[in-house]
Amino acid sequence: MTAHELTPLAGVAGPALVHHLPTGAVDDFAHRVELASEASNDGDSYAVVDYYAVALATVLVPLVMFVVALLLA
Amino acid sequence: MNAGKPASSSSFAGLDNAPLLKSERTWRGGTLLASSTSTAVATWCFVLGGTVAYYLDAVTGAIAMMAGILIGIGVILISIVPVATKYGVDSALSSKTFMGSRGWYLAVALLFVILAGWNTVIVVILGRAVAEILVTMGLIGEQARSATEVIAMLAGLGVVWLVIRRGSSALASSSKWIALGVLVLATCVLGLLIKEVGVSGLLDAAPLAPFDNKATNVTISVEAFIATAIAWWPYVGGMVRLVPSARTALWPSIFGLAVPLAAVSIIGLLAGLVVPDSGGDPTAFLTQVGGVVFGVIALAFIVLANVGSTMVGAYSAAVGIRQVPAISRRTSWSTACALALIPSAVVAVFFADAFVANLQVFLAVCGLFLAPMCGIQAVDYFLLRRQTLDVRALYTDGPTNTYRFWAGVNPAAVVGFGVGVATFLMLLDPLTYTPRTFFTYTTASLPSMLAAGAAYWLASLVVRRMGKGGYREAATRDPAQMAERLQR
Repeated sequence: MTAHELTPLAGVAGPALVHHLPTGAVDDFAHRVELASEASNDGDSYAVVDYYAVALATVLVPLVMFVVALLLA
Repeated sequence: MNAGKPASSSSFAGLDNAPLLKSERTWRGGTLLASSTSTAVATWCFVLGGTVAYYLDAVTGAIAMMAGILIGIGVILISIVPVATKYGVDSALSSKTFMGSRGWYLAVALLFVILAGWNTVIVVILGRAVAEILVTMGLIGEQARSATEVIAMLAGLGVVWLVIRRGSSALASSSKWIALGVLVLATCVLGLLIKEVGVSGLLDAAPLAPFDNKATNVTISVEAFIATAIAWWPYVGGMVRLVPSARTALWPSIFGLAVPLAAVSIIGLLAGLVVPDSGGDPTAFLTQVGGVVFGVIALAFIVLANVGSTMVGAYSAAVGIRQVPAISRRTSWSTACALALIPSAVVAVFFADAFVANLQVFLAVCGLFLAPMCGIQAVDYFLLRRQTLDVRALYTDGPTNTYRFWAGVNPAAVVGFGVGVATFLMLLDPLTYTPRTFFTYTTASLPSMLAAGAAYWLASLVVRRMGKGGYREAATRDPAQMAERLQR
């Protein structure tokens, strides 16, 4: 079993991804870290538009909700 | 790059916590959405909603809860999500960059306490459900209810220990079925409440013990759900690390965590308003409102669902504490599983009802510690490290490790944490849940996060000037240079 095959468990157990990392994968740990250190391993970050989306969904919308709740209270 | 000890497997901080390579991060948005939903939805949502019933009516409470959840998820989106998605590391390990190569054990401890807290909530509900079933069926008398609850809680924890000590792969499929079942249960509870008092009865129900100041009632409800969402910090890192980009994780995180949590919590709020003594907990009224047959079936489902939810939480907590090498070396997996369950057992025996009745205190403690942590992480990652980490240093240790700082602890994080916690305490007493000073206009978690981030940034200027923490390398490093260096 590879870490790839373990992924369905990860979302369920949250941070508990891989207590049961298979022996082969544990043996491969040093190599894995070296590979993960390479720049090409980096995932993509947010694009500029995503920051606007985050601001809209988690700042502006809640702010409006907050004001509405105050008016209703 | 880091010049710590060689990256042999024996020097790694935690073998359970391998970094995921980009090629292994195969989750799409839909996978994350489903996983987030199954993580967020458990019977604790009812009790969370029930806490708002003290302060607000149904409509205002629902709006305030949703606002709080969205704000809390916003905090998560700018703290743990970018780091975990870019480097495939989980929440606790990601804190090593700002807490230090030993200071990050505090994050592990927080993770452990928070998971134990959530576990305790569902174990208490489990005990109540078992006792209610037995009382309803006439198998025990009312006078034996409390003792039965305690025995049921301990038995439930025993079952959980027996299962997870074997590293059950059943965990993988149980969570989504639990989430689905809880959503069905919530729908049934809503139907029962409407049948009992009608829609207008739900909408007209008055809050149970509001403050005189209406704005304070709104803010304290918003604060409770900001803390609830921030309390997902340990879970979120473990999930989004399986997604290849922050962009892919953005909307599924918002919808997967916010919508289901809000939906079930709103029904908990309605239950809390209509059945005041329940605090939103359906075990208190299912048999009376739904009849014996439905009530017993629903309660039996709650028992099974809560055993499943406790397994997931305890499993995560056991893995979390085994990330600390000193604990990992001295404990077997079985012992770690037992350690993960002991706090819940102690609370179950001595303070079960008090713990659930004062759930907002637990939420406040989550906000007290995690809000500063999130603020510090966002500042560290975006402003100081320019979104570039030394992955090798995350998994190694030694005097020259990039994240060693001084004796493994970053004093800037201590300062940031101290300022954040002090700010929170100035605004809200976490033990009595009493607002202070200008809490009504700001909440406590948000100022705490901002103050911690600002103090950390200022203190880090000194740390950077002293050549510690790898900030200078982070500021000058770019991907092309890194690739070239690795090839040499």
